[in-house]
Amino acid sequence: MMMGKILRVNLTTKQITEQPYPEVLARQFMGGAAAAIKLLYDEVDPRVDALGSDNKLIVSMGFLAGTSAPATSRVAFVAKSPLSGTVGYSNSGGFFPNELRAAGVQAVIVEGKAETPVYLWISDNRAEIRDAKDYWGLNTIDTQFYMQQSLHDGNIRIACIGPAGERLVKYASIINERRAAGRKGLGAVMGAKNLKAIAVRGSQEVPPAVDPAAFKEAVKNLHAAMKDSPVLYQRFRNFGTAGNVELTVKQGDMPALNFQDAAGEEYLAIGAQVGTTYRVRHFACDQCPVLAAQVRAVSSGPYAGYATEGPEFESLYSLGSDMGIADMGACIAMDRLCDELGLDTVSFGATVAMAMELYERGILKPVDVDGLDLKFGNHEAAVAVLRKVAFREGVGDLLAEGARLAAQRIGGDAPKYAMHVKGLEFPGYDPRGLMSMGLNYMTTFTGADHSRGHSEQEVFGIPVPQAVDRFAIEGKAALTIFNQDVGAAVKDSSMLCTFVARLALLPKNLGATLIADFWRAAQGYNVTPEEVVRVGERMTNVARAWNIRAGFTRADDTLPDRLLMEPLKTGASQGHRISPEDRDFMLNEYYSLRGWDARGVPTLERLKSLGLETLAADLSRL
Amino acid sequence: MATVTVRTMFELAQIVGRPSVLLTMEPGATVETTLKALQSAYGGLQGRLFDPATGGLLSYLFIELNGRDIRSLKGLETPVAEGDALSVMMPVAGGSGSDDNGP
Repeated sequence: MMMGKILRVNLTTKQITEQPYPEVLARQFMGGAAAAIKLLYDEVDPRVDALGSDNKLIVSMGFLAGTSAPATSRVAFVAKSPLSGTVGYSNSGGFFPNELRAAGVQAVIVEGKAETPVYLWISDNRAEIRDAKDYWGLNTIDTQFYMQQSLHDGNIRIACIGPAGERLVKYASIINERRAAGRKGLGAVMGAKNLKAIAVRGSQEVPPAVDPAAFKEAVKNLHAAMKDSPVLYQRFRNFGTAGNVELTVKQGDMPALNFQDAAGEEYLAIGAQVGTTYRVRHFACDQCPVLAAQVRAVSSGPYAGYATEGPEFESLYSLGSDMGIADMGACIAMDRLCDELGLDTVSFGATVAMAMELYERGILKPVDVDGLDLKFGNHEAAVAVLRKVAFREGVGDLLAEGARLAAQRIGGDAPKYAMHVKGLEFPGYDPRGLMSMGLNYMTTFTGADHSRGHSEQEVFGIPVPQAVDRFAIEGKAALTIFNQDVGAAVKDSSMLCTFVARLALLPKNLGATLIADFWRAAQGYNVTPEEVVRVGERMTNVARAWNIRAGFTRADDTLPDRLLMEPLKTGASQGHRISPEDRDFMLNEYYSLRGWDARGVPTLERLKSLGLETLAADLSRL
Repeated sequence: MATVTVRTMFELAQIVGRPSVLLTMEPGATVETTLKALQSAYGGLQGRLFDPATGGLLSYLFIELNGRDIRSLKGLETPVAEGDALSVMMPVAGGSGSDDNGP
């Protein structure tokens, strides 16, 4: 088997143990995030305090990490989310994942809590818990620099937290190199464990595939599909994800002003075409020929001197249009500061956008926001709040809780303006013009998440499995399930880069077929593409069952009232909303097709068909 | 006669000189005849809408009529009417690839 070992690290007892990768995780869940979520299900009580010592942080790579397959240096971080209370899953790329795999490790389970700040040092045949007092307080960039210096090796790869994670900001990120496992607040889980960083150095080859010739053929076919894409090496490399600004402005579904309306053409000022004028260079994750990351720098104006790897589309929405900011320099500066201080750009921007609306409506007074003029478009105030959030100073301490909790604490009408699902703030697609995306936000196990079940058909017009009318509700349940399960199998289990999956494989519906080819060749399993998709369905059901045990119900599978009741006012999606009746129609059909009952609980029959009957026993005890 | 707004992006918008233009179409006009009228009005669009080899739409274009994918309507044969908006889009990517802030 190609899978590496599992390292179990208990920070309370300071014990580190190794175990072989369980066959059931490799065969039923493929590895990656799917296996990590099963480990969470098996080992973490859903009712634990996410910031307590009983939560666990699971770091997991797919079976393709470290191999010759391109665009697979990706890692899943999984824990109970302190922001939402749901399964928390975020992933990242860069060099850290392949380095950890080269150290012989497939997954790390971090348990307990250290008495004082520590970091985990993993090299080829050694893992140890080390004192991190020399790094506590440093930002993510300096942490990595000084750790490499102290360990006398610039090729050590480090995943770490910044001041925001140390202070348990509910949407603190984990940063490796300049990449972010940004969402769900998993940086706060590290901070709560007094775990500043995981540093790795490896030199081992991944064990050979069971059928090396077939594996080589699959690599060749993946490269061919990537080369065949009319978009991947041309347009995507040139524009990166920022190209979505132009697209979503045209579609009228880029949110503006805390979802009060769609972003208009004034926000093309933070789009890809303007972005190219700031670009200094391209950058790529390990073993990726696409070079899609855009390093952008500001050379004049108040933000001169700031540079960042990004901002990606989601950050241009959250740091830009959602806060009414159409200034690329400000977006670059805030993107950089969020990464340095260890904050999720999306939740930060969305939470401050809510605060801006509350301020403009008089619900928050100047005295409540430390005297800042927190109106929409005021990027100087947004930058000031960013630092306050990271260090939990003044109003930053309130906004560090995320939109849902902050609004609850403010009280009155404030919760009406908190734009989230299950506590996770929205990414950059207004679902009022995208019905499947809306259903996906309602049902994805992490809340309003664009990285699970993204509606490629509605947003990008990819006609697979078929072209769709994005305003129609008919057929959207089946489409959403296709996107969630195929996406989970192809991107969250094998951990292939989402852009390769989306741009090179989905247009030809090749994802499950190619992953099945890789899986057969690597592990020797006699699997079909249908079995690959079932891995995605298993992951969805395991996460759903865990969330139900955590207390989530059908009532949580909904959208904020604004999206249900207020149609978009302008743009190409003008007049559209997802009414409560639309929501119920799609949700009923979705549950039925999933084999879940009317409460959204997976049935014994469906769980049995997935080999997950033990979950039914857990659910029947509720 | 029908006045149709045609919205474009990236290099198409640069060729046209602005993000949207108004075209006046004869009765019976379709998405295809509207796109061909656009191509006739702006010669730089030759080869950037239709594949010169096959005559079909370039595969990476995503075209919506009033917000609806034309492939969910009648494709290029979909009729256009007064006040319609035709968006000629060029999807690049989508979102951030991590959950996250980076691809």
